[in-house]
Amino acid sequence: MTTYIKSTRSVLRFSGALFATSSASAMAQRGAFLMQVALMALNNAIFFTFWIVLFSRVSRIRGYALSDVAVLYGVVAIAVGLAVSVAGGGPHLARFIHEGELDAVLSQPKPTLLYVLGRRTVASGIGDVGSGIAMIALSGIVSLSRVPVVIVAIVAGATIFVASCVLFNSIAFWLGRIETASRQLVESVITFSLYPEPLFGGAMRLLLFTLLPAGFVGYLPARLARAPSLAVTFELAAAAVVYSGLAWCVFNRGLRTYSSGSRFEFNG
Amino acid sequence: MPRPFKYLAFVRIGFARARAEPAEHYARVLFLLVILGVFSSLWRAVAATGADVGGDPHTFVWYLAMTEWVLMSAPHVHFRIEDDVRRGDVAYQIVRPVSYLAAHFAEGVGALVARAPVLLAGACTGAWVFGGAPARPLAVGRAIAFGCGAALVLTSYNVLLGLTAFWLGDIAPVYWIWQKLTFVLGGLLLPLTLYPDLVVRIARLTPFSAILAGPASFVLGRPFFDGQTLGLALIAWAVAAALIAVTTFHSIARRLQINGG
Repeated sequence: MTTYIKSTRSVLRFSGALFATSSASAMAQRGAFLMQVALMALNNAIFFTFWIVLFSRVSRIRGYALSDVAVLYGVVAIAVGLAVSVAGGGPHLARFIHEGELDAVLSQPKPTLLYVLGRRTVASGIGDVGSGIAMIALSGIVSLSRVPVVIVAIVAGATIFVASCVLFNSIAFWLGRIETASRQLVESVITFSLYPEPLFGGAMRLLLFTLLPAGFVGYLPARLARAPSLAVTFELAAAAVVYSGLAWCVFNRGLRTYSSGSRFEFNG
Repeated sequence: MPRPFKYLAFVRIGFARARAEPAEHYARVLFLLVILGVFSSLWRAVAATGADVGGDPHTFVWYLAMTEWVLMSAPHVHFRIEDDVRRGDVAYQIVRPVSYLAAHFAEGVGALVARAPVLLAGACTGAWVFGGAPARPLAVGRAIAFGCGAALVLTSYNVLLGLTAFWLGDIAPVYWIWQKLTFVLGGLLLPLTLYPDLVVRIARLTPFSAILAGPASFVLGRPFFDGQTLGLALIAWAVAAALIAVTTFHSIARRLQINGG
């Protein structure tokens, strides 16, 4: 037990150091970093005009008002922003696998997946987080007392998003070059999670809570932010554990079939 | 080799490259179907509220199929230019006996020729499945004809977008803004007529409305431009893109030759 706690602590310390290093690397070019952050926030604001225009013509769509969509959009933006800031390697995993870029990290003493995920920070993720916070604040339906619940919901959503990135990109271990397909699958998760939950029913709904876990990245966290409930919190936490475990297993199973790209590179 | 044939070779290269990656086509078609599925649900839900949004949900799905088809068909030549700049390949490419810009545009045209029919088939199938048979089949034909021209014009703007890499290095943030301007001023998801007057007026002064809303609005039965105006607008915006690209690249090339790549 003591050994397990020690190793968990060591992994957490390593994750923190990895995040600090990749953040410092992303911020090395301060001007470009700030521009990416600002433009991503602007990008989200422009996208949201769609909903403003639509809700100027209808007051509610299947029970969703503009403020509900703002919470949904905010929660997803923060979750995705957090995910690509902390685990920016996730969306590029298929390319790393196909081009043999795992060679450099296979010999490292810490878990390979952790290393691959954390070695990159996407600057625009911070812009996503900023705009997400602004949208939730402007929605006016999330009070300050609910902030801790919202944080839990967002962290769970971000975890599931990273796990789905790992799952979709790990297919590259078996199928080779699938970057575009895996990117589209990841984008489909984001796309679906940005639209009100009641729009999708039947088989589609089943899909969104299984193969394309948009329901766990957007709908449940947003539901929790709007109306905190213990049951939904447990559902979300359980989903985060299941998807993370699945991603871990699939990646490590794939790693056994990985053939080297014979790459030689330095890691600072 | 006579001049036009040089560029024909680039068209062939672009075509062959695009054909060599069928997975990318299928992934794009899949994404297009996802978008059409999401929006058909959304439009049905909007229609169920009884609100007047200036059209029926089925026609809106066909409108979206046309705008998305044009947008997704235009190849991302800007990212290839960005790669050239990042790797320094541009230093040897500009001394070749071909125009750097024309070569990239020609490669883009090749990719467009390979990609557009596949995406069109996906768009029409998706629109038929989610929105039913088109209310105006002839208008769909018209939208497709103008859409081909619009995708070409969009490719030329993508080349122009790629040139920003010479200043910024990473063009992704500029691309996002460009993409979102296309989204609003081009009427990508919502017909422009649903936006406030000011937005519509601004949109008319940009290439976005001619590229996306122009062709797609034929299927709504209330075209944003009539056929002749749209044809002229597309030509004018293509000429503008070419002039800006050539002038900009001329100054970039001069700076590169003086300061080195």
